[in-house]
Amino acid sequence: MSLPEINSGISIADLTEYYPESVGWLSERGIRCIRCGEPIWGTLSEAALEKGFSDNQIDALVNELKERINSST
Amino acid sequence: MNNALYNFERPKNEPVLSYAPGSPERLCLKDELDRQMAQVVDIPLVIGGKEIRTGKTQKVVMPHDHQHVLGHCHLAGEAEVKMAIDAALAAREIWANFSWLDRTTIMLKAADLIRRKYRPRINAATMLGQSKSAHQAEIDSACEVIDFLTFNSYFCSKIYRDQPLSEMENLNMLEYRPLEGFVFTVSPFNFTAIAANLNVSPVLMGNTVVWKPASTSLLSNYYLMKIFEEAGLPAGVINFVPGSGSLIGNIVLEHPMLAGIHFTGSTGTFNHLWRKVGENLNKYRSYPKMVGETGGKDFIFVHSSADYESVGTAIIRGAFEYQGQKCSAASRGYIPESMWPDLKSMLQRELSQVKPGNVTDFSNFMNAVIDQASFDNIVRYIEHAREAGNAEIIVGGGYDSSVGYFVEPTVIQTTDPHFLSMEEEIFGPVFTLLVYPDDQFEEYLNVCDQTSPYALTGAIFATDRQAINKAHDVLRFAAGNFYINDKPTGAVVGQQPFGGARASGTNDKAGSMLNLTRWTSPRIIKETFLPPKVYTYPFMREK
Repeated sequence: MSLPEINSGISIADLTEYYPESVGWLSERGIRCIRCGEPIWGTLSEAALEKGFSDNQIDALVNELKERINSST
Repeated sequence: MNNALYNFERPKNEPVLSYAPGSPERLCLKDELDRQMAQVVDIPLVIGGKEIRTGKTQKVVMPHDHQHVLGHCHLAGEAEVKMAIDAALAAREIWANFSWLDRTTIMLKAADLIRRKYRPRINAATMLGQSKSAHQAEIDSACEVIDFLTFNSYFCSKIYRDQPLSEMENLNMLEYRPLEGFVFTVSPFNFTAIAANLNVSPVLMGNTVVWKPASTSLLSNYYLMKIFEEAGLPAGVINFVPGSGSLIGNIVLEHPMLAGIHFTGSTGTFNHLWRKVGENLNKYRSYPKMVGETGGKDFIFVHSSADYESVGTAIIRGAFEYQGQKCSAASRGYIPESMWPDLKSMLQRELSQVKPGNVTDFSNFMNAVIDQASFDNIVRYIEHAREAGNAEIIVGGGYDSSVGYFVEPTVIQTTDPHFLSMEEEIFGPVFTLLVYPDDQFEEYLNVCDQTSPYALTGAIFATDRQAINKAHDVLRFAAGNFYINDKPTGAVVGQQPFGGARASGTNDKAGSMLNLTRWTSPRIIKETFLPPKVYTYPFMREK
């Protein structure tokens, strides 16, 4: 089974399921994926927007996350 | 046609069984635990009364022994979500026209089924699937579920009984219609009882629901669904739809007949739902009613007049029972420095004896946290404290996920009132405290009030009545459930209706009439006996 692509539209649920290492990394940047024992709903972009990220910052965040995931696999 | 008007008496709360050695309930429960551990259950979706197996499944495991598979649960795709909405809307035509007495009868039967037939089954499933001790399962999946069913039936009868005044020449009636559409219920993993209440409340008031259970409480929630069916709930009234929250939510939130959301979970997800509902307002037939109980950063505030042993016991029970995975769990404390040496010794002494372990070993006070993601999340807060210069781990701090997701009860002392774990909800067995100068009681009450965005539960410990009154006033909006000399957990249906405001939710008080009224769309009906035949009024005459 192929893994979902990491982009701004990936759901937080998919991130936590397929890329669990991203949870801690995002948490250090203020985006908490797990709340009340469950992944929050919505996309990475929506979660970042709620934390005040701009569109450019979201693009940079996604690129950095991709690099991190790729380097760890 | 049965024309009896049944008079509901106020029910009594379900007695909590002890599970003491040699008790019959303990023997039954142990047998049932063995039985459930020896089988692998195939958990289907239940839509329109039919079991549906999609073939896309997830494992249901025991958090305290995560290689042990209890079952496989089928997950909804887009087609099943749409099917569930259609089933709910179809059933609505029948269910909304059931008399409220018929609806309550089904709920009372469900309560009796749990009380006398399925108590071991639902408790064992909650223990194994959600890693609860026998006591924690008993107060949740047996007693609180039964209480929600019986008390909500009673509250329902009171609501229907409440009617407006009528004059001699007319009759006024308030018809408590259900909402015009279906209700979307989203339940959390931590309480089987919350899953029951989220569905039962709207259903009792004549609504039908699409239920998305948490992905980590599927076994007990499936058994709950089966009990509702056995009690006589018509097909399609509750549709059990496990699956991805985002996938299910995206379809449900776009539907024009979405009439309400009954939610318990995180503030982030509830905000997401609310935002989506706002974006879709023009699509809906009605304004969906939003009822949510979300996060908490619940406090224990201690005055120097308090007794340290009571405080220590409240911290141990309030922060660490069910591994701190209660919305109401104590997770921050404010301790007067005169008390701190005694309290610190007590916490270190008592908690050094508490080791989390398997639920089948009844001597364990604590068990596992729910899954790997939660475990990792909790560990991050512990490690942050370990590395911080302004905090110290004074109890616990250990963790191990090799067999189960075990985290030791952990107490962090910080000097910073805004330390990360003083502000953020962790949902795990981590309690952070701050020691304050005794003479700055009121200043620190204000700090407590302003530290967290949440306002769910909180407790004041004091024997000085003036101190209690001061805390009562300063912390008026800091908690929806406020406790005096008691731990901030353990709300009982009908006694302490539960819910908070600020970022903790809409405060619609589960376990009270207030919650049930949200699921009605009342219609007032006035019938005039002798309608006037002229339009003029007396004041219009010359003489």
